[in-house]
This record gives sequence, C-alpha cells and structure tokens, in this order.
Amino acid sequence: MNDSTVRPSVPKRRQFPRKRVCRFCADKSLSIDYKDAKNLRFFVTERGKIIPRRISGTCARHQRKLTKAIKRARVIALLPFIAKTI
Amino acid sequence: MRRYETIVILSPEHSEEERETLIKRWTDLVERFKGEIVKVENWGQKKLAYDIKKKSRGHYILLDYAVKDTLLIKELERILRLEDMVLKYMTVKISDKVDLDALREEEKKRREEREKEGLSDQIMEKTLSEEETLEEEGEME
Repeated sequence: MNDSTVRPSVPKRRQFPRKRVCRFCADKSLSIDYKDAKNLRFFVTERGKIIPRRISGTCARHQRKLTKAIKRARVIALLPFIAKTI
Repeated sequence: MRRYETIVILSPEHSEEERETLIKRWTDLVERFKGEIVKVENWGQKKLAYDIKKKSRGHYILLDYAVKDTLLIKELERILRLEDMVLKYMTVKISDKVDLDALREEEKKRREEREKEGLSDQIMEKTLSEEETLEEEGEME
C-alpha cells in the first residue's frame, strides 16, 4: 500500500526472509573468503549481481566484507561480472 | 612481516614442467627478498567465469608468502606481467603483522592432517620448513 513504484523484476533468488539474523554473525566460524566461490554464490543473483542486504539478511559489516570478496572473486574469474541467463 | 596472497592464472596450454619452472622462479624470487613462503597451491585447471585472452579455462596457482621488503611485490608483478603464460594475476594483502612461528605451526598441522586423510589432490605445498624443499604431494587420484 505504501509502495506504488514499480519494482524491477525481482531475481528468483529471494531465499532469505528479511527479519533473519545475519548468517555470519550467527555462525562465527563462517569465513568470507574471495577464493571460496562456492559459498559466495549464495549472495549473488543468477545474473551475477550482488544481492542487497535487505534480502540476504546480512549485517552491514559482513555485507561490506562480502562485497569486497565478491568483487575480488570477479577479478579472478571465479565469479562472473555478468552472467547470461538462459 | 606482511603477509600476501597472489593468485596467478596461467594459460591452460603448456606443460606441467613449464609451469613448475615458472613457479620455481617465483619462489626463488621470494626467497631472494628474504621472504617466507607460507604455501603454494595448485588448483589445476578451472573453467573461467568469463573468457580471459580468449581462453575459457585457466590454470590457477596460489602463492601465500610473507615478506618484510615490500619491493618484492613490485618485482613479482613486473615479472608476472612480462610472462606470456600468465593470463591474470592478483595480489592481496592478508595482514600487516605475521607471527611466523604460529604460522609454521599451523602449516605443520595442516600438512599432517592432510597426510593422515590421504588427501593429495594436486596441491603442491611448500611450508615454512627449515629445509625448504619443494614437496609435491603428487597427483594422486
């Protein structure tokens, strides 16, 4: 009712509800590593875009680390800059 | 000592020997600058997320090292830039201070664990051992 603006199509990966606690804060042993493309993939859409915090539920601090890691991984071709969807 | 990681992507053509020659050159360089090599990992060939120099697969090498003289980085990157086999490289600083002894302990433990489990998937490791011999853990299945 508040939001009458048209939102661009939401990526299919709306896995994480908003109110959840940050994944990394909850489990301290999870580390954010740019070399770990497998785990970084959860935070990236099908097109390769970084998922915003409000959707993934991560806290600010970890989101910043994530972003840095994802961008590094992209440079090293472990993650794409843009991925073509089928 | 500062600790760095450099990832190098090599062209998938070329033989293992040529790769080893290169890697030796780099490790020698690190030693020349009085640095310590924490580990060298060979991830083998992987599919690239996007084409680099028209190639869709690349051979990944990870160098983990610590050094006091930061001019090493410049020199290493210069050499990497000149080498044709190198498609891409990226150096990242891991930490400003390094506790060498703690690192050595860690590496020792990791090696022992890996040997116990019998894991040797193409990882070439060089630890902070006194002998400083390059031990290849083979390409066992």
